[in-house]
Amino acid sequence: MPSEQLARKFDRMVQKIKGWITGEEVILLILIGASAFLLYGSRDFSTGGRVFPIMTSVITIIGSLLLIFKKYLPETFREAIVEDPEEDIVDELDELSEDENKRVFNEPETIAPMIPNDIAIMGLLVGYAVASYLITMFIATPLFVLIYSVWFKQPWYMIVGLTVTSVLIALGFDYALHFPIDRGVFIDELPFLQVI
Amino acid sequence: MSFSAFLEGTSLLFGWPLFGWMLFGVVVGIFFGALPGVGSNLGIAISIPLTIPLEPLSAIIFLIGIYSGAAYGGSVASILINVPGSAANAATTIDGYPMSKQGKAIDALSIGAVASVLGGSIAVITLIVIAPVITLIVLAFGSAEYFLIAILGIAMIAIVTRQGSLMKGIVTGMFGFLLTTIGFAPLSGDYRYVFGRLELSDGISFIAVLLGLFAVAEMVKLSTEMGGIAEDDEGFTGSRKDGLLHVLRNPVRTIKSSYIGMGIGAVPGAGAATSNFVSYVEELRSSDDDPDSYGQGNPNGVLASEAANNGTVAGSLVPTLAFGIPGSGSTALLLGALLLHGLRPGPMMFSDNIHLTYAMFVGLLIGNVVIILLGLTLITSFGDWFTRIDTNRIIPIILVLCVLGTYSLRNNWLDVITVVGIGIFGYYWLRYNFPIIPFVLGVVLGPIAEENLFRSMQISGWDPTYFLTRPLSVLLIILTLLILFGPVIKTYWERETQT
Repeated sequence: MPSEQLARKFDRMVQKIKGWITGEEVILLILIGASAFLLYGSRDFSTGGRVFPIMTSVITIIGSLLLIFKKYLPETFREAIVEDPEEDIVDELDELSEDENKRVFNEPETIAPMIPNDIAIMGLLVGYAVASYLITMFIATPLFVLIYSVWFKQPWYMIVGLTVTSVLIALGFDYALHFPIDRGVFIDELPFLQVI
Repeated sequence: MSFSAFLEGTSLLFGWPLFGWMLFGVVVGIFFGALPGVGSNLGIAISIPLTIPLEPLSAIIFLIGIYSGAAYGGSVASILINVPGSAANAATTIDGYPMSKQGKAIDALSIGAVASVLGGSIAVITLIVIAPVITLIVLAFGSAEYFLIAILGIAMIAIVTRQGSLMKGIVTGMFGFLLTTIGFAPLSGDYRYVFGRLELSDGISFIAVLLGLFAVAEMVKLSTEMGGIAEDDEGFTGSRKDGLLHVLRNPVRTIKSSYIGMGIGAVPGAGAATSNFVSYVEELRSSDDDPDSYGQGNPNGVLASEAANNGTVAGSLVPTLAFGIPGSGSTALLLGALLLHGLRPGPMMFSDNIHLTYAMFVGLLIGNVVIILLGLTLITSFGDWFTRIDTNRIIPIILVLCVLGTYSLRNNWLDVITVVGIGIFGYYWLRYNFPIIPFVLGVVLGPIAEENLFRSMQISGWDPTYFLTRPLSVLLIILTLLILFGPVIKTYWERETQT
């Protein structure tokens, strides 16, 4: 099936990338990049305003570089400060989660088994945030819960129950905390909510 | 002890609605604690935005109630299905689950309830008595010391949590500090990293960061644990009376475990995740029982673990309230809540506001009454219900609460971006063994650390040697250097002695 071929292709590409760079190194590079950006930006601040950003960004960059290049450090220093005693466990867990994803292909708990659960939820969450901004939280919230519940193959009564619960939670926030759940870029307000 | 302050705090607590919030908090905490993989961190995190309309003390008492209730509630899943509600109850599984398999689930749950209550109460009473001593220590701290103790706290947490390497802890802690520099800096008057956007002028919300890390990241992680918590019926039998009497017949064990928990809780970064194991190991070491009986359903194993983790609840409040250094994720969240509600940790909490501190301690005592009532009645009757909840049904609701709760903080879409972004980033941090507690500490304490650094620099005329002129500052610097370089010296020494 085309979708399975696509999934296998994607899997092979991910394996190839993992051969070049580890997940930990990606995180460290992000930290270095963000810190360097903020360090560069601090040059426009007053003396008092730049001390803390400079101090913290420099330590972050140096520390991250030490972690990336840890295999070149003196052994004593590496063992004591830089080495992660659970690095092997993390690698094992990575392999296990890959095995788990393969198991998902064969024993799907979700509707679209080629997408791992964590990626699916993160995607849904980003979609929820974007939809809330565009078409109001009041509409996006039950949509998110509905899609999530259908994705994870919940029974119909649970899908209905959870969706209704999410609507009640949204209304509860509106009532108790008075923040606009009915405002979005494409929708100014929802008239029926004004009645409630 | 300032008796009048103690009485004032107690009378505040017994007023309405404070009393009601305490009780409700404990019940909510037991619920969250009993759900496997959820725990007090998540319960506190998603409750924080909901406490915004409350009075500061009501909010804090409610959240402390959750913390205390969850420390006990985690024993339910530990005992019934061998899955700890949180790391604070991990040691309870060792003997709790075998007891359950032997048909003594109710005994174990009763022991957990009574030990939690007694362990927690002993620690709280001790703290109330020694509060004046703590006050003296706290009042000796000035701006320089508060800046240095924030740095020391991150170093300690990085090494004590033992998650990832020490350097990873320092990097994440410093990055947390760095993120707090975004926005308007009140001391220097700079608008930092706002790029002309109004949303950024108030900076990153630390509550959004906490929710992202403790709620969103955890829910994404939980979703990868296939399916919900399905449970085979192990049988829910045993005797409440036997469980209760067992704890009452072992007062020395209970007191010892409570103090182990309290002492470890007072160490920044240690927390109940450490104390329950230390107490269990100490019980194993010092007990007259056959050592082989531990791990096979020895009730003293459950007693030691549960008395310690509730003792930690009280102990961990000391560094949190006195110095703003949390002992665990839960106290990091409590610290965030304190700041959100305008209560600043430090000298004020042990001087002008000491009545509030006493109210929190007495609140823990009252909460323990609720724990024992619920623990010996409802939990021992219906506790197995928690183990049948499918986590895939909880996750979407919790994520909804996170997003709505975050947006409700400031009606700022940046906060929604923060909670989702940090949640996703935090998930990968957890996956690649980056410690998140130092990062949390950095985010929560960043503004306070910078403020104290700025003040110290102003007082000294921007002379960094100012820190070396104060004995307490020098001590803190030495401690920080020892923590940072002690492992290097130790490793070098071990190598030298081996060769």
